[in-house]
Formats: sequence, C-alpha cells, structure tokens
Amino acid sequence: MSSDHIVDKIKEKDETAFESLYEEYNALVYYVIFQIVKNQDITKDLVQETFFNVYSNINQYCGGNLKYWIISIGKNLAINYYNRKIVKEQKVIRSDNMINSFIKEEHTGLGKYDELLDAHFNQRQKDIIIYHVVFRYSYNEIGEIFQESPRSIGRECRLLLKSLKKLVEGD
Amino acid sequence: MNKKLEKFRRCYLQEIPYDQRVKENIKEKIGIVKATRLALTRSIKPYLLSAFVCFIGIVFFALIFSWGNYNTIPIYKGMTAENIVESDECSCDNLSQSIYSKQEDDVVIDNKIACHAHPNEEIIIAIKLYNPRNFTIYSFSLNDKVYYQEDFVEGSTPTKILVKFLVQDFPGTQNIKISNIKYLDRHIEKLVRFGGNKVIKLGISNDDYCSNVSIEETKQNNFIFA
Repeated sequence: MSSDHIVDKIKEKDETAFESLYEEYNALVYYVIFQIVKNQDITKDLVQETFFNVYSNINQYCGGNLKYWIISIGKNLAINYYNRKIVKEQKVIRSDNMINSFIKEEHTGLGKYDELLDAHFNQRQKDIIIYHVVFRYSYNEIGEIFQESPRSIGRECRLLLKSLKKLVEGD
Repeated sequence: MNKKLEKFRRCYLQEIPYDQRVKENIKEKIGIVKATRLALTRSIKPYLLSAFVCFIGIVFFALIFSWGNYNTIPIYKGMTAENIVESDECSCDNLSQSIYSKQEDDVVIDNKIACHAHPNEEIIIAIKLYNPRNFTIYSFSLNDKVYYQEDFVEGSTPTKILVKFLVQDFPGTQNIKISNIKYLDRHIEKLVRFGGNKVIKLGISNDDYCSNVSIEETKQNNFIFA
C-alpha cells in the first residue's frame, strides 16, 4: 500500500489502513520515543498518543515522507514530555529547597542488544546503526534526519557497522 | 546485508515490545472500530434498500401478472339438459338455437329443466362457461366418458358446449356428473376452474314427459340430493 493510499484510507478511518500503518511504524516510533524518555511504560503511552495524533492531524499532512511525519510527531511528543518532566522536577527542587534530591532513575534499555549498543556507542552512533540496520534507512534518509550529506553518513555508517559486527561476533 | 547484522536486526526488533492492547486502545481512542462499522453499514444500507425495493417490485408485478392470468382462466358455471325435439324441420342447428334461445341468459346454478327422458334416449347437455379469452375447450368427462372437440354438437361456442348424451336404459333417476374440463392455452392443456354445480339429475320413465329434471344442488364435492 503506498503512502498516499494509506493516507486516503486513514482519512476514511479505514481499519485495514490503521493495521498496516501500525505494523509498519510501531517499532520505529517506539524506538524514537524510547531513546528520549527511556521508560517503557511512558513510551507505550506516547506511542499510543502518537498514532492518535497521526489520525487527528491527518488533514494537516500535505505530502512528503509519511515516515518522517509520523516520527516527527512521536519525537515532538517525547520531547514535550521530557521538558515537562524537567520543569516539574525543577519546581519540586525549588520548592523543597533540596539540591541533592535529583531523582536518578534507573534507565534500562529495550533489551540485551539495545544495552549492548548503549555500552559501546553514543546516541548519534546508535541512531545511525539502528536506522540503517534495523529500519533499513538509506544513507540519504539518515542524512536528512541528521541534516548531513549522505556521503559523510555513509562513511560513518560503514565504520560503525564494522564495530557492530565485531561486537555481535563477540556476542 | 550481512547475516550477522540480519540476525542482530531480528533480535533487536524482537526486543521492541509489541502490545496488542496498545493497538486496541489506539483503535478505541480513535473510534476506528465504530467508524468502520458505521462505514460498513452506510455502504451496505443503500444496497439493501435498493434490493428490498426491487424485491417488492418483482413481487408486485408477479402478483399483478398472475392475477391477470388467473382472471382469464375459464370457469365452469353449470350445465343443463334438454330433449331433442324430433320434427321435420329439426336439425342440429335448430336444436342448438332452441337451447340457446331458451337458456342464453340463464344462470345455470340451481335451475330446473322442465322435461325428462325415456330410457336410451339421446338428450342434449349444455355446458356453460365463463371464458373471457375464448380459449378452445378441448375435452371434458360426463360420468367418466370423455368428450372431445369432435364430439361437440355443431353450434357449440367457447362459452357454451353442447353434446349429445345417451341416457340409461332403465327407468328411474340418473345423475350426470361433469369433470376434467380441459382447455387449450397455446397448445397446452389446462384445467377449467369449477364455479357451478357439477351434477344434474335426470328423471327417466316410460311415460310421456311431464316431470322436471332437476339440478342437484351441490357444493363442489358435497352432494345434496333434491
């Protein structure tokens, strides 16, 4: 099903279109949100809200890459959540006047492989690997996300994949 | 892609939770289930309505058509018996004309015929029909003897059939029962509907004619002897 066709069907609130949209982008949206909020329960809620917003604002979608549009909705929701959380914590700190009371939450990864990446790569490198290997983004697409040239992204990606292979072999 | 990387991809994707409840929650929140059902109902409704209207139309026209056809089926109205009057001028034509002139306007039901017959005498039986489309009467039975078109007396019409009938050879009474009147509708034999008395009773004696021949009052298969 092409993006335009899916969008038309979404406007009609077609169930099949929703199913295919969810199956295709659930994992990607989940990943993007999780990388920001680092909490599985909150991620689930935000994924839910992302798809709800996709449906609510589908009339505002005016062509282009549907994948980027959905990701941007998820990412914005996650960033908003993160910002709200920070503001709330700062308020609590100010009100209680307890400087050392920052709550250090234990952030766990999605699983073993996610933690492996977290241990060996920074967030940018991890994103490049995941987008390319897991979600099969081309260098062009990753370049658009990071607003860099595909060539430099390609070069970086190849180096990262070499490291990843070694890691996986070792695993 | 490298096999190891492919394996990594599969494993990583498996780590991302896929919660069916989340999906259902989203659908519920969006109202997609209801919307789909509504859309389905909306899309089916006009078809159902038009199918229903078509069905009613077909039934209506079928009823009109069958009612029209039903009204054209010939109906048996009754029968009378008449003696053949022997004279110099007597002929079949005269005979039939005399019967016509006498009974053309009669309603045969519950009528009485002012004559009776001698044993072994030939009489004329007149069978009256309602036959608006003038279907050809093909055959009928009188006391189980079948009479065909060629047995009809000259002068018979689609609404009045005349046949000669030989009465029994001994005095007393004789019932004449009519059955299986068939007509031709485009070369297909069909049965005439019965709307009159099926049986008449003849009085048979060796005396001169003086008594009546009465029509038995019947209601289809329920005979009441007069």
